Amino acid sequence: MLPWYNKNKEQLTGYLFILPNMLGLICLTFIPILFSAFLSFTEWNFLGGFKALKWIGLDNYFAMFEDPWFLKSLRNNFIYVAITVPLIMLFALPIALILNSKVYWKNLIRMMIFMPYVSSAVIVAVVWGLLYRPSEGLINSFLRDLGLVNPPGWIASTTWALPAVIIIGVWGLIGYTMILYLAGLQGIPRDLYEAAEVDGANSMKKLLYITVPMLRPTTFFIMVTLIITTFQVFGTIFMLTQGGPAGSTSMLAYYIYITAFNFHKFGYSSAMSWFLFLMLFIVTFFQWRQQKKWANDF
Amino acid sequence: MKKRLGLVLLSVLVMAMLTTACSGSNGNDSGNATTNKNNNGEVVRLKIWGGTPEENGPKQVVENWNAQNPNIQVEYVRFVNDDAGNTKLDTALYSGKDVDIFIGYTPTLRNKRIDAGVVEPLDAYINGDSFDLDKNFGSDNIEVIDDHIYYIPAQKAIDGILINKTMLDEIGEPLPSADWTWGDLADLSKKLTTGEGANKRYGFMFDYATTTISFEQYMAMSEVGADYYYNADGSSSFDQSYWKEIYALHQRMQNVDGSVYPYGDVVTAKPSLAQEFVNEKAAMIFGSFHIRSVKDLENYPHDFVTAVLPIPTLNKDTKSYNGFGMQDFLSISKNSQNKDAAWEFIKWYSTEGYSPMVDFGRVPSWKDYDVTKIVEQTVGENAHLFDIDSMKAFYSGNYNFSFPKNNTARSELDKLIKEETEQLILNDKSIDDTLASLKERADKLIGERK
Repeated sequence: MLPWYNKNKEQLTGYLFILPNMLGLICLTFIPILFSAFLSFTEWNFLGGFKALKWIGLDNYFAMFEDPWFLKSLRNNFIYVAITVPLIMLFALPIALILNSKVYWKNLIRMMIFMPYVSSAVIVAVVWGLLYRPSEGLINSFLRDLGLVNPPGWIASTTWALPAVIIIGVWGLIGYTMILYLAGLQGIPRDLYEAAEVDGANSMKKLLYITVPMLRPTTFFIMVTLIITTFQVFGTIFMLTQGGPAGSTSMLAYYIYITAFNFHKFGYSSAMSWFLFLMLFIVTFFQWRQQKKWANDF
Repeated sequence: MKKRLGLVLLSVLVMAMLTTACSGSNGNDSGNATTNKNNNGEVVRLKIWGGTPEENGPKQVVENWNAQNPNIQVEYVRFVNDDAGNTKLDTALYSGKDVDIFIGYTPTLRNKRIDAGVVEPLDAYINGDSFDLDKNFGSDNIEVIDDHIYYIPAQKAIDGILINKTMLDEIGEPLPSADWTWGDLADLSKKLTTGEGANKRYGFMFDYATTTISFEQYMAMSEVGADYYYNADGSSSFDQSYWKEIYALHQRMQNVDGSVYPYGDVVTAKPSLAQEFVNEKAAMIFGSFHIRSVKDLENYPHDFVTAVLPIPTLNKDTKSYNGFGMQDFLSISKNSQNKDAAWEFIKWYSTEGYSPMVDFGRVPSWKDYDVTKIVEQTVGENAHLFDIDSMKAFYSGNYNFSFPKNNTARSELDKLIKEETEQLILNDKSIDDTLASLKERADKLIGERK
């Protein structure tokens, strides 16, 4: 047992080691977060300086639910997440399984699938914009060659814009999810498969009874991060559709940005950010609880 | 215990991810201006923020000034004049950093900055120097806001339409007169539209993708001036008959005649208007400032003749407006440490210093600048590719310009009108329904801001 002062000294050294990082986190993350929490109870145009700040209590939080733009963004956001996340996982797992077995050009294929994740959002938006062009775009030219007379208008159509944005979202995140699945697959002990083979299990059975259950923690992690990431979709919307046409692709993160920087309503915008945070927190909290339950079943 | 720790970590994770996406809004330290103080012969350094690409004039301007004024050295900082670029400028202005002079382009943004108190009033400088505004720019063109003058406009932005004159000759149509109407434009546009599919040529093209002001707004402005959103009593104007005319016209051009470059193609692929014009995909384009591209044969090769006309009016017999008019608002940042030097620069730039900008299609607001010289400088070496008569008439015409006076919820109304217009153009929502919903929603937005 060390004397108390020695123990304290050791603690101090430890704290000093993490201090630089903590300082950055406190100044650039925690203080702004707290400030935005404060702002969410005010009405503030930041161009007016602090003298323009007005305390209005919970009004911002009530105003949200009467704001058609907010409600539309929220609705779009839910649809986006509910479709994008399962689709990504549905595509990423088989790709990871294939790439985990012996295939030719493994590294090249892996890189190609991962590429969209590290590409600049600006370039992605420009390229997809050209592809989606209704009259002479590559996609619609192809569809016309297939015999479709009236191909969709994609991001120039109020019905097709959201699916178009979802396609970009799925395409952009498959690579990242696939890498996580690949890592998860590496972590499954070989002897489980060997034992199953001895018992005469075929590959379908091995997949269903060994691979999928063993990937549960990975799947859970992927789901949580994907929900958080896709809820905050911003780059594609900002660069490609500006929430249009007619608000059909407006999402919360984009509307929060518009409210702050175009309408100069910082208080309202902060309130919406906090609403988004609380919503994600609750969703994630329940997933976490659910995960605990699954872990017990296993 | 472990469970709780996990929860805490999780919330940190969520927060961290959340903040990476939607913060950046709150991290303003209000620092002081970093420019040097003017002490006994020490070189003063000025930073000028402008939206014109450096190679389109500003570089030459800066070189000219720096050569003449060894004690005041200026540096040009370019911001892109869109939402993101203006946000960048706003942030710099508000934090008081690195801006001495800034050039604004959108009146609403300019007024917002004045309201916020980041713009230095120029009255003291003007009076101290007896700088004659009426003689230099015409007193009608200098806006007094709350009893102060906050900016000097360097450019006279005449809104105009570029027309491929060669195509006009091919179909045997004369060049319309300068007092033409939007209806005339629609008729002409229909006549100029030819071909099908990939070979289709459109009569008219408007940049729906990147301009902050929509086609409807321009048409409304030509009829009633810059406060087109509001009735005299402050309520929204969507119950006025001009909106109905405007929507009927746009709907006809876009959905019936198909004579305008399709809305969907413009917003998805964001084609460049000047490019489509020289590629002969569009016979008329909106925006006289595209002259600066059209005259650049290296990047925009073509061999047809271009004529220019001022934007049409809605009704021939009513008073019409050409637009905001005076442009390139030169203002001094309240936080600048070198305001006297900045004023010297503004004085020079808004008069004789503007010359290099004229080479790139900008029209000086300075009255002493000769029209023939403007045309000569504008067309440069390629006079044979321009209809000189129409240009001279365009630059010397008498226009009513209009300053926005009411700006209640204007940014919100801009978003609203775009949304409703898209419903009308893309989903065939009827004009009456569109206007009814515009009126209702606009009144609500105006009410919230009052």
